[in-house]
Amino acid sequence: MIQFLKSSWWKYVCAALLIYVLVGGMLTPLGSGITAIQPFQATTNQTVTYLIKGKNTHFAEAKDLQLWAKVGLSDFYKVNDYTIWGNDEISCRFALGSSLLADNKKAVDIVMNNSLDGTVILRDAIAFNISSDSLSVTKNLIKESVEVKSNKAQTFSFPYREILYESIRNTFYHVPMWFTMTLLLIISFVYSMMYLSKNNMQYDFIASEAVSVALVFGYLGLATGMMWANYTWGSPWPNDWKLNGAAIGVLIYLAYQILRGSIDDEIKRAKISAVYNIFSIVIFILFIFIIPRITASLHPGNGGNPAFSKYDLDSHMRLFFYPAVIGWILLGLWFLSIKVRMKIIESNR
Amino acid sequence: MGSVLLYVTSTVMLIYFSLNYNSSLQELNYTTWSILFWLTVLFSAVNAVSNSFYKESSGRFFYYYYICPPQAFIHAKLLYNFFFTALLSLLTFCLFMIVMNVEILQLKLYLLSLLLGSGCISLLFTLMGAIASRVGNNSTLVAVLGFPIIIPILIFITKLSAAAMDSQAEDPMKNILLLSAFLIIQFVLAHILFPYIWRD
Repeated sequence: MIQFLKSSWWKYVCAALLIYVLVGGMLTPLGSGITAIQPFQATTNQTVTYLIKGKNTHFAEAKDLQLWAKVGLSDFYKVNDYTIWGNDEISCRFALGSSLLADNKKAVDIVMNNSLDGTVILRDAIAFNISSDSLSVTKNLIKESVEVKSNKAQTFSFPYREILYESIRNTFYHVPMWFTMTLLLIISFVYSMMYLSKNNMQYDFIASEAVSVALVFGYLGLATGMMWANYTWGSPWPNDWKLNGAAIGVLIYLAYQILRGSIDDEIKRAKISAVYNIFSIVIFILFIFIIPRITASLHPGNGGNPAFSKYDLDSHMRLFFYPAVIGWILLGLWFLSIKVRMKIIESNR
Repeated sequence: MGSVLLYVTSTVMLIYFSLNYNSSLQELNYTTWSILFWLTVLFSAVNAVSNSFYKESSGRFFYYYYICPPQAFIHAKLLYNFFFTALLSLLTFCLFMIVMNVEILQLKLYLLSLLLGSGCISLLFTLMGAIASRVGNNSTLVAVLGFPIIIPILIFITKLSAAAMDSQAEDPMKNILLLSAFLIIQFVLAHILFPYIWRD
């Protein structure tokens, strides 16, 4: 491990990856999406003109725009009457009959597809009230089988998601910080165990400096998380188990550093802090990974929310996400290498 | 032993008087009662348990070192502290019922929560006391090491206690399983790690 930390080829790789992620992550535009529809409430059987506003869309430029109202889970009704006002605005006019509306869901999604933007959806776009007419009047809506050229946009872009919007780029910073912190803490744990079995002082150096660097990444992870939470969930610290668990993880390792600071004798310090380190990694894993999974949580990946499995991450994001994880981990190891080498030099003096 | 009992009684009296004179005694809901109860138990237990290492003189430690393996020592300490904390929580419970009577709907669940809670608290602080006793008998160190870990555990314990009193509580099995898992994890860790501290 010390040999790996002393070599320098991976530091160039780290720098290259991080520059790539920074430039690419910030410059890639966000994909197309529908931002608003007016009016968003209507009564069935009545013909209403709806104005739909998009973002990063190309309604005017694309030649093959198709517009559907999606009722229930799989019924697509194509809207015939629409007028394009510009790249970002389109209005359509239709009436939805009472008989078409599903029993359990009274809201209708608006789905659009064109060859430049791919498929864009506004979920639960229009909420319908059942009208008191007994007759069911449907206008400008035809049920056809859906045929599109492609669901994907032509330009390279990040997915447009409600709630997240542009802050989806934070994925390249927030998530790798926590991966790095966890990896460094596991390195620290392994070297603590090795110290207890072999009593080599260098292992103790690696263990303690790994905790220091892990704490820095923990602070950064908390800061990026709070900034993200402020924009998406409304407050920088909603009462969420994963956040509380993360804060407690940081506190536990701060206590580790205080413990180290309060012992003067080197060997005693190494031994006792190794014992506390092994204890705290177990508690850390319990609080950050296990408890949020079993409680209701806002966080992605816990409490039933989607996370970073194979099916949840967009393939354009993946091109930047995996290099970001590797780059930030290598940066953490770079910090660790500098600190460990400084410690070794100081101890040899 | 006597000082801890006095600590508990004074704290209960303090809580009772401050609530009574601000006329908030009637507005006490189950969760608040539970939180006050467990905070009292926590602070008395921390005092009692961490001092159990402090009070042993160094001569006695040498004696123990020669006559028993470290696992036996730590098992004995953990068991004694567990019984002590359980008794302490029972006493606090009686005092709380005398001054601030609350109807407990599921007594068996509540007693289980007492056992699990005192188990977790005593186990954790015994281990932290063992670590801190090697470092110069610093009582702030025990608090610094132990409090971050006990915070979420205490949340689960208070939820379990409040669930035993409340008629509309959610299913307590999750909390019970979590606390038992925590107890087992801590016991195993203490069993494995204590010999390393012992060897000094």
